[in-house]
Amino acid sequence: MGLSIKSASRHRHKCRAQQRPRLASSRGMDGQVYSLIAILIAIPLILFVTFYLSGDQHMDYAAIDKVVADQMHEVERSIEKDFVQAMSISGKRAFLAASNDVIREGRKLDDANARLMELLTNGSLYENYTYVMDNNTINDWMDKITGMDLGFDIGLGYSDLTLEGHDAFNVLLSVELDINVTDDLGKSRIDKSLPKESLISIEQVEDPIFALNTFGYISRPIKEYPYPYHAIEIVQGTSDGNCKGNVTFDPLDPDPSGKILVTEDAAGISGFLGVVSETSSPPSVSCYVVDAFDAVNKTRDITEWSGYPSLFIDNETSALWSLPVYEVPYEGYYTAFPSGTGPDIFERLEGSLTGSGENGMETFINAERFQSVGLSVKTNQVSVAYLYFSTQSINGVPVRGMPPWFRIDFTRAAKYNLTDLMET
Amino acid sequence: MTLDAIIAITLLLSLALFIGAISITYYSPDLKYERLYYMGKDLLLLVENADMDQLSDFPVIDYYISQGVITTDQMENSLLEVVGSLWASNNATLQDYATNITGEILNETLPEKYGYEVLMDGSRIFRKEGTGGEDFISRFSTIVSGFELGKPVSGFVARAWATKISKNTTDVITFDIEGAGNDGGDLKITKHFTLNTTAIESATFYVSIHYTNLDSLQVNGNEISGDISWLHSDYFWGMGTAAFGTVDVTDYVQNGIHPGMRLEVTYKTEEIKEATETVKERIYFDNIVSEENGWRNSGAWAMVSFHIPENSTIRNVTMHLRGEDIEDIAWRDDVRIYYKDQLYDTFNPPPSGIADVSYNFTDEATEGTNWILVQLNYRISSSWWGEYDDFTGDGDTVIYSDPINDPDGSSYIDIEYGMDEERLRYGYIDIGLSEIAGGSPEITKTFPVDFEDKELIKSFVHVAQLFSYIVRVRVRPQGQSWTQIFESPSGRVIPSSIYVDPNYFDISVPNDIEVREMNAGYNILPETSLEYRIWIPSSVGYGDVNETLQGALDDAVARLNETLGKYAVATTIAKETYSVSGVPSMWGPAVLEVRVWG
Repeated sequence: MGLSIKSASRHRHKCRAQQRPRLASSRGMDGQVYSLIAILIAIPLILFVTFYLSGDQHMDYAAIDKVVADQMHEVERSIEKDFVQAMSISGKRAFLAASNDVIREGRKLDDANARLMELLTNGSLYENYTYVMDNNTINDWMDKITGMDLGFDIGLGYSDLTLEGHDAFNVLLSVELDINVTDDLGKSRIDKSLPKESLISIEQVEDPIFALNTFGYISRPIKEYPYPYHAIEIVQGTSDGNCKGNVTFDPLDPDPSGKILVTEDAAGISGFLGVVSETSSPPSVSCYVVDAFDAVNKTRDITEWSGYPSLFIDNETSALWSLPVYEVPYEGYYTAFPSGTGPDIFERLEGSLTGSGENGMETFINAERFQSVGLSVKTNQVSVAYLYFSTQSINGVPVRGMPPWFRIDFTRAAKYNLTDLMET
Repeated sequence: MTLDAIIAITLLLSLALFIGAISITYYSPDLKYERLYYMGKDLLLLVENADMDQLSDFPVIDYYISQGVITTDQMENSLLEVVGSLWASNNATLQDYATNITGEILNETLPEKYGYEVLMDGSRIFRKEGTGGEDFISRFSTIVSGFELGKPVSGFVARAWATKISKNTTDVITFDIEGAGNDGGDLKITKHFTLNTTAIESATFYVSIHYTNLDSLQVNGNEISGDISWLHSDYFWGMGTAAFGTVDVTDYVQNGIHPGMRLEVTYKTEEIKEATETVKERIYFDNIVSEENGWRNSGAWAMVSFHIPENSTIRNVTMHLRGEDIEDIAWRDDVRIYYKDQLYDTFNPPPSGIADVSYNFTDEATEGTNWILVQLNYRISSSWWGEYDDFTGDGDTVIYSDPINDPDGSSYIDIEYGMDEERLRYGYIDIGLSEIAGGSPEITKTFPVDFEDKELIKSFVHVAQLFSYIVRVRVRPQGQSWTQIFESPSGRVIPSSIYVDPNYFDISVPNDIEVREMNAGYNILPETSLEYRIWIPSSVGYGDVNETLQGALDDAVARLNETLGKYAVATTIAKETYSVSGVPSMWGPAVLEVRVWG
């Protein structure tokens, strides 16, 4: 107690001094061991420090080069990616511009593919400026990119630009893109030539053959038919009357007047537009199909599958039908059949009504719409649009469940599964 | 100090140097930059490649979906596309959304000590301050087309066209020369015409008649004779008065006549003209009843003119005539029919006094102005003092026509011809206009008309005169020579409507029209006019990309109205617009940049 730190330190030194004489007897041997240990520790340490410092300098240079190389690569990747975006924008607009011109001027394209190429690259049609393509061509994009300061020298080019039908509702724009990225010092350089593709949807593009054949009065944008079938017979039974209405499975439906009730037993049921039942008891309505096996389940399955709620009771076939094809003339839906009937988008831009392309599509005219704008209707001509507009007389017959003006021939009816409903 | 201590100290110093060297080289600026660079790259790749579906677990994304800021259509869009479109809107509220989305997602990816900033074209979308200072900032950027501040990333374009046009158009209903002559008794003429109209803007009746007493002149049962403003008149002793005047009959038009009598009606119509290659037209004679008046005999005559455009294929021109109360005067041939300047047929009526005959003039018809002249109990005879009107009817003489109640039994001319396809205009509507010659009565009247480069469909000169003999019509595009269009083959053969084919005009320059009376004593009146129809473009194509559907439609309608201009006001175009959604534009490219420090 009372020992200061200084005196304590002295005390420790003193103790060590007192211990030395005990170690002096092996002093020579100990020194060699210490020296050896020190050398063994020092050599790897020195080597490690030497190599580490040397390696660090190399690492610094490598990091810079690596970043620069990565930046070049990223600039190239960025351009590549943006080019596909530019193709998509330019392609979509080219179809809009082409259909716009055909419809507005009433002038068919002489070679749709070539004219679309002209739009894509130069933004012109027949060497005339088009507003829709203004600042939206592939060449415009190239000019912009090469004019930007991206930190590197950029060289761009393309070749083998092609446009072809992919399917009825999409076209494929393909090109060979050449990219060249060089750093300022010319030490590093990326040269790439690679194919690029963009799928362009033609949905919403107006079908030129409607406008061309109606003096520009009728517009018909292309919309793909959304249902899984055109017409399907759901059940057969014993029937009376023809009627068309939305399905209900609720016998207590509060708004029955425009609906077709599908139920197990129709006995005593009234108030509905039509009734379909599994038992043979007739309902108290004038339009029905009874004795229809498994009608409830089948109808539920079909309507849920298609999402189309309307049903048609046909007395001639004593059957309940689902006819989403009814919506085709009103909604303007287009169907692509595996056989590829009807003109494809390129042929339509050329005003062709022959339908030789494998990516063809079909739709129906809407005679009511024609009449509403004062156009006369070819009374017995088939309602398949490209045939309806033909100068040849192609007669068809009415179809039960379809609009009264609708006409179709046997060949086309089979494709739409309407043969059994034809008024022959 | 012992050697051991020296060695020990050396070893300790070496160790300290080693640790110090490691520490110094660990904070190498290049390596630090590299680290920051790759952090920035990771951030940017995330922004570029992560789509909304993948990010929907973030509360901010979920919230903005529920608020409709991010729509279901955008769920497959990348974070860049969503944030970029909000930024490009240049709307402060939407740009705040972009800030919130960017911050909440990217904050999860970097340690707290690092700060970073996301910019589009140099404008900041989000910035987070780190705790590690800003000694080194790494930058990483990419380009993206379709984004530009203040420009819609995608939107709607629309076009518009007019199918039902409410247009102000002028029609001229002409009265070809007809009557009972100056030796006849009372004359009653009834003319039926139909206008496809929703509203009459104005209707002016130009009256050009030769009469002794004008007892009555009615339009739809309304007496207008007292309202006529007589502009020109001449009285000849013993021959009555020849007079020309106008009267406003706007309120009366519900939906023996000299050249120039016509009714000009300007009206609104929603008529849709179906362009067709075949033109069929039936022109009815006016119902003319000439009454015997004491010693004055009756007699009816009428000229009906019609036109066939040049380069047409004439398919049919037939006339049905029903004349009643025709006297059979010996050696007179009381029914006389002319086709243009040729006396085509003459005969005496059957005992019933009714001549119900049909003629096929297809072979006689020519392009341009054609006319048929019918005379019943009347002809022009000559004596030692000259030609005179020679009437022989006893009681009434009638050219029968009642188009409303008895169309097929009436007197009429059926015309059918095929038009040159080039005359059909796709995407255009036609507008009728009329130019009055003006000035003062003169023997040769020349007046200009400017079609303002609008394509001409057809035109007619309506000659107004008190008395007429032989009229000549010529036209001349300014700077070119005159072309004669028409000259009466004989006296009094002056159609009220003289067809002038558009090919005679040059629509790019003003044109002069000259109407000349070959008899020096008669004048051409200032009310002589040119009626013409021109094509107006009736559709506009796609315009600018608009952020909203309504904006695109409004733009299309405005452009359509501008195109129709002064000629027409499109009123029913709601169903005649078509819009395309999701139309992209090649704005930019914008530069998306990520800066990281710490």
